[in-house]
Amino acid sequence: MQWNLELAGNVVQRMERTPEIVGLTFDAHAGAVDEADFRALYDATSQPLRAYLLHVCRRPDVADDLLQETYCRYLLRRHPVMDESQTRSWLFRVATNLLHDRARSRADTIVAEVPERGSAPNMESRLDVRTALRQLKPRERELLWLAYVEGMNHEEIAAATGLRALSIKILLFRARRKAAGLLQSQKRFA
Amino acid sequence: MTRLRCEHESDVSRSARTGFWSAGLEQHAETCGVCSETRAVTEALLAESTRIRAARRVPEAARVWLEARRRARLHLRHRAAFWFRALRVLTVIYAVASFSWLLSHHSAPASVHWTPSLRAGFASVLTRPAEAFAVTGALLAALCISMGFWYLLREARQPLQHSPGR
Repeated sequence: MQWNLELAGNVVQRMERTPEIVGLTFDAHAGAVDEADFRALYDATSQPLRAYLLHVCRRPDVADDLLQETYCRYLLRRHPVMDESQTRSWLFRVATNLLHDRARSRADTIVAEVPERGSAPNMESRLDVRTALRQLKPRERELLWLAYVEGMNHEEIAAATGLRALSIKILLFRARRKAAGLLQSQKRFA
Repeated sequence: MTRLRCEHESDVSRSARTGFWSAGLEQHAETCGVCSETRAVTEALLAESTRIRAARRVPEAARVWLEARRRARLHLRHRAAFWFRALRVLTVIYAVASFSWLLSHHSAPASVHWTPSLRAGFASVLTRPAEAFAVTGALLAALCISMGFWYLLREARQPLQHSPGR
């Protein structure tokens, strides 16, 4: 139903002449988000969020796409006023949901993993760690990353992953035990 | 029995992230199975995090901002086009109903009961001056609307001539 978009486009262009849209604000919150606010938020949160996405999905192109999608949703959706911590939690939750949607569509299984630009393949110790961590399941990687890199507590992890807070304890224990075992065996093998 | 969790686990994880270890906690992390695992895993993940962050920069904020703005425009455009789509559906319904009515009015067999009554009713409407004026107005309005709809339907067949992000 892409018909007559030119007429509709004229209407939108008239709407865009209104001050709210000319001023480039997104009315996603009780207070609209302007570009400077967004840039500050993005600078503070995009690095850890992208690292999380890349660690779980293991493809830089997919991680970048999902990162962009997460922030677009943040800007376009209406949600209540959130403080810094809630915003961070919200971003991780959306990113995790996007990862799950992506995994369900199985789009990532078709293409082989793309190496990161600038990574040093000759650094054996780092490769050992990476090899060990890659043997974990995506869900395990999510939990470990949120708990130990982002420092989230069980409730925050439950909110980000959609799991029950009570399940987090046992799942995290299993994931940590598995990761420690893999790291140990990699060290011994090396 | 294997312990699931140690009360110092979060402190160990935080110290591994910040690099500040108290003497007691560091000693505990060496002796406690849960905390030594936590420390090893946290340090491995932090090394991975550092590698990822150093390897590639995140996309520019401006790029994401522009993409969100483009989507907002598309959303507005889609919302504005709703009435055009609704009008198209109404046009099709109107055209089908009118055509059916005309067919039944002019070519239905005489044995159909409702046709004479409808004719009589329509004739009686036309005989009275006020109603005749109203019916004429309605016919003219239908003609105008049909011409407008024809224009809209004709537009629908034309390909999109500009990018959606204009």
